[in-house]
Amino acid sequence: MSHIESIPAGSQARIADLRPEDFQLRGVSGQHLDSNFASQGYWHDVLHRFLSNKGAVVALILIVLIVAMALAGPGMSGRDYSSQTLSEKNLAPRIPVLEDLGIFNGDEAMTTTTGTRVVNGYEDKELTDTYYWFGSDTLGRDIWTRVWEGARVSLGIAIVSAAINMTLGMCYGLISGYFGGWVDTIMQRIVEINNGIPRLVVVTLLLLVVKPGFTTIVLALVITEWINMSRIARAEMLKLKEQEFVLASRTLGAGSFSIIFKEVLPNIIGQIITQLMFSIPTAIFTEAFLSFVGLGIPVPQCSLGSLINEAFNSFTTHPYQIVPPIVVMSLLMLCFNMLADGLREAFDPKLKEM
Amino acid sequence: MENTNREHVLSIRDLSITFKTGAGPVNAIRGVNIDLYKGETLAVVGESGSGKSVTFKAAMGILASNSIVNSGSITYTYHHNDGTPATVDLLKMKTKDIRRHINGKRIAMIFQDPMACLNPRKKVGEIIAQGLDIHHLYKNRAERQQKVADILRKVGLAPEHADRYPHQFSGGQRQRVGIARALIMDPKLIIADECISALDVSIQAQVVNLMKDLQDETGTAYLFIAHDLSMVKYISDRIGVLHLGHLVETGTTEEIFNNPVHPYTQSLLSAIPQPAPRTERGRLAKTYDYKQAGVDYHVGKRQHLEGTHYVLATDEELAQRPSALPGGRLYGTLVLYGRPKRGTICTGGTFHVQSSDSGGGRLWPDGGRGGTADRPVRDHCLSGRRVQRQPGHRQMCGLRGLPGRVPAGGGCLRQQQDASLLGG
Ligand SMILES: Nc1ncnc2c1ncn2[C@@H]1O[C@H](COP(=O)(O)OP(=O)(O)OP(=O)(O)O)[C@@H](O)[C@H]1O
Ligand SMILES: [Mg+2]
Repeated sequence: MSHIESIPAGSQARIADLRPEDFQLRGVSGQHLDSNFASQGYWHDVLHRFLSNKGAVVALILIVLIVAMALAGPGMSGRDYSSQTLSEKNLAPRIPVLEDLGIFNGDEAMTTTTGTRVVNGYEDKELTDTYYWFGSDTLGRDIWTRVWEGARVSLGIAIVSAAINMTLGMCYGLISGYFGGWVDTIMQRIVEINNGIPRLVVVTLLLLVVKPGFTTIVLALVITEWINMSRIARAEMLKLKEQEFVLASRTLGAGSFSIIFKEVLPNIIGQIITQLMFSIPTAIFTEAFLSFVGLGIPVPQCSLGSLINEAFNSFTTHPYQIVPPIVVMSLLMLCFNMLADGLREAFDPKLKEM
Repeated sequence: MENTNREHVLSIRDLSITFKTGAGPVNAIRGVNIDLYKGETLAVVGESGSGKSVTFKAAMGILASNSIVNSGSITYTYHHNDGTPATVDLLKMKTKDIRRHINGKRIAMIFQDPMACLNPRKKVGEIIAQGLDIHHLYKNRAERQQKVADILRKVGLAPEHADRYPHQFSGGQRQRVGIARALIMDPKLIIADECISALDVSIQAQVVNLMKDLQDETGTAYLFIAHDLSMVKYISDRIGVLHLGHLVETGTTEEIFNNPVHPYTQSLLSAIPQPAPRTERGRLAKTYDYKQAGVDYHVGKRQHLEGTHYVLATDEELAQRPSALPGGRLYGTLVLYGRPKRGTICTGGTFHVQSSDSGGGRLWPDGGRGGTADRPVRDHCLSGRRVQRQPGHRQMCGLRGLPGRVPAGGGCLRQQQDASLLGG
């Protein structure tokens, strides 16, 4: 009450008359709503960071181009990937406009015992109107068509197997990590046993037993590759499941399924996508490797790996045959790795200021 | 005093929980009894690791998998939609049933860390509506949006905030989101596990005031887990003090603050800083060490003191405590000048101090009016800690917040000026 006493006697009556409702906040009308943050979502940030990474964007464009060519390329030259024209075998690349500039005109250097001389298969066989853009192989098949057909098969195998890996590995890892205890123990022992058997042994045995083909190779790639994905998913789950927001969902009555897939998964989807992108080049390479050792896609179908394998036999005499599949494959692997790298940086929460 | 016929919401009886760990079993909770009545706020205080969270995680069915409930029951009373009351034992219920019928719908929880308790990848609107989604508590999207908008307004945010992500809010705003998520379910009981500990003081006040306002409006019972006693005093109707898994003292807020009986409670209270510099200077934080205090919680019984005031003690321990006198309590700071031997409390009755060689002392009532002459008002109340050394061997000792008794009619001693005890 001291403050009242300190007030001159004359003003006391006025103060005593005041009631709470006489007081009002000045200059406050409604709630102040700042708009600087309005709906700036996580994905928006990710996209922004991704686009600022030039390398990753170029890689993405190249991938899109290669995929487009893999879809459209085989139909462009008018030749079938498997039809053989034995009279037109081993022709060097010949491309309409460029041939006038003296490159890609069908010339190729032949090394013989007497020295090197330039031959032109098209002129020798008087095929004036025939153009093999990438040349033709030892059986007279169009390399252009085969390369894009091969890219299509390789990409198909890689993407299908990576998608299966992701789904399988992710679910396995998430479940194992979330439930913990004996569930986790058993599931992790299974992983270890699976991982303990060398991959090549498993795949070789599998391909000996089952007829080789698209499905078999996908299966072979899935058998061991999903483990990496499951490890990442499990590790992330172990990290997140102790978080209070998971506990909060449980106190609201959420079931395990909804916690795993609706609460935790959105938080690790970045890592999952990154890992998916990294696993595609691995799958492409593994497929090429299997094809190269003769366990790949059966003839007359082709993949990048089997093309390299075939061209490898005539590498010393007709080196141009091996170049297109190798370039396409290298580009694919490089670009997918760069893309995955860019995605990882874009998703990485450590770069994000909260 | 308290109306014990009031309707129970939660009643924890003789709860004991053990954790299996690599280094042997950990007895986290040992024989805890807690009652919570409708519409009231019960604060559970205790140091870190005393078992506060474990107790209420048990009620929510979210205990870690390595826990074993040795004994006890947690009965929860609620009303069906038609008004018929039902009582269930949460410990005996299936996890699935708890999830369907209790969690979220009837008991909701507010968490400690306002950042960690909100999913960073979900929009605030989705977070708040999660409980509605789980329990299908709306007929169409419009109703859902409406409920979210209403609750956001209620906790002092704008409906437009529903489209933002948690990291776009300040700590206090996030905690409001956490509160909104619990409140939207209109639960009968909200368990707030240190929901203000991570916030700065002004935001704490904001959030606590919000919670109090909402309680007035909805009549929700709060279980407030905390270690900040000053905030507890402000928000709670009753207090339970947990230590080492034992509930050492319970009572109404006044009972605990005015007459803390258990030495652990006393040490907690003596640790509260006081906003008055004079008394704060003389404040002596009482230390309490379970091992050295010679108190054995296991042999203690739940002793009734007054009203709803219970303490965990043996009969002897209880008998040793200073006798209670009606009329007033010493609750404040006593500053002693000089090496105290005998002295007088200016207001009220007289006391004398018998000092020991260690510098500590006992405050004795001076016969007649201040209790019985053969019993110290407070044992070792002057622990001899030198607050300030003055020329001529004058020593200033502090004594604060201890439930010594002031003779009838003496009134509460709250200030140093009222309680200067002159050494002889
Ligand atoms: N999963 C567990 N395994 C083993 N011991 C545990 C487990 N959870 C809790 N404890 C033990 O139980 C005791 C009580 O823990 P609790 O979390 O209830 O503390 P608290 O009172 O909430 O502390 P704080 O104020 O720090 O939150 C602690 O000693 C802790 O070590
Ligand atoms: Mg806790």
